[in-house]
Amino acid sequence: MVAERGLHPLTLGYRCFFFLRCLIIRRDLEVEVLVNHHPHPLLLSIHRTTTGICISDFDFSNPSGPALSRTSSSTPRLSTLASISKHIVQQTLGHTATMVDSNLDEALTAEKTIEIPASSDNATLPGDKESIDMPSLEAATPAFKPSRGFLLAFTSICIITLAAALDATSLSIALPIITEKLKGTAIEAFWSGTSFLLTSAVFQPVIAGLSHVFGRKQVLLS
Amino acid sequence: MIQLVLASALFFAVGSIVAAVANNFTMMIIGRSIQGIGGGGILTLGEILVTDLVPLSVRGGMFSSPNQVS
Repeated sequence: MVAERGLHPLTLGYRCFFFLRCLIIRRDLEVEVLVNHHPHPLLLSIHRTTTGICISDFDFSNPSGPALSRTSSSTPRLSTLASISKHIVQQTLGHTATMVDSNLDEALTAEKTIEIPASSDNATLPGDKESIDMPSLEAATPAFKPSRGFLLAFTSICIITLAAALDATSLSIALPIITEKLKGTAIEAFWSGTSFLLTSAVFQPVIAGLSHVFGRKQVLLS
Repeated sequence: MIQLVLASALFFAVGSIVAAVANNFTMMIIGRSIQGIGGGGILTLGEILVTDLVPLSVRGGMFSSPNQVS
């Protein structure tokens, strides 16, 4: 357990790789589940967005507008798109099938020529992921009632944020006296203010990545 | 997560002590750098914690307080 929790670079790299892979596989899986286990796959509407291709239920109340009821905004790879078209063709009859097939093939080639950058493999855009998670979040917690422990912890977070922010800015007031007492030069005085901001900026993404590695699933406050 | 918050606060405290008892500017810059590690962690983890624990509809209101003091 200790070895797993350690910061060996191989472990770190493997976890990052596994995390990305899970994200990609989950996106494809979601599209396949939505298409294969839908009661009426023909009613799924596929339309293009700025970040990729959006597959969603057909909205009967607003037939002309985009469907909004169960939206899976995703950027599927071309193989997934091919399986979707095959599935739709299997569900369709006779000459309509060939028509849909040719139309979809044209659409696929159009996608291939236009949207190659959007359908790359590591398409883990944070906005997309949030739009996937958004309906479940709002459905799960309709009303947010912060408990007393949450408010206390939130106040302490505010206080240490105040301390860190004050520390970054309030040095310049005391800097002439400090420089005089420590007999420093102007460049040293300048660097004492800059080193804080520099290390702060360097370590902010590092610590955000570490919080991914160590996991945020512990029930800290609830 | 809680270990990271505590580690950031510990870095901040150690850096503050080092910068406070410094006798020359080298020690002071070293202390300020250690303080910067903790400060960056505190600023980032505060936002990550709020983002994790608060639903999306009230997130803006809960973000306003740390942004107000910072």
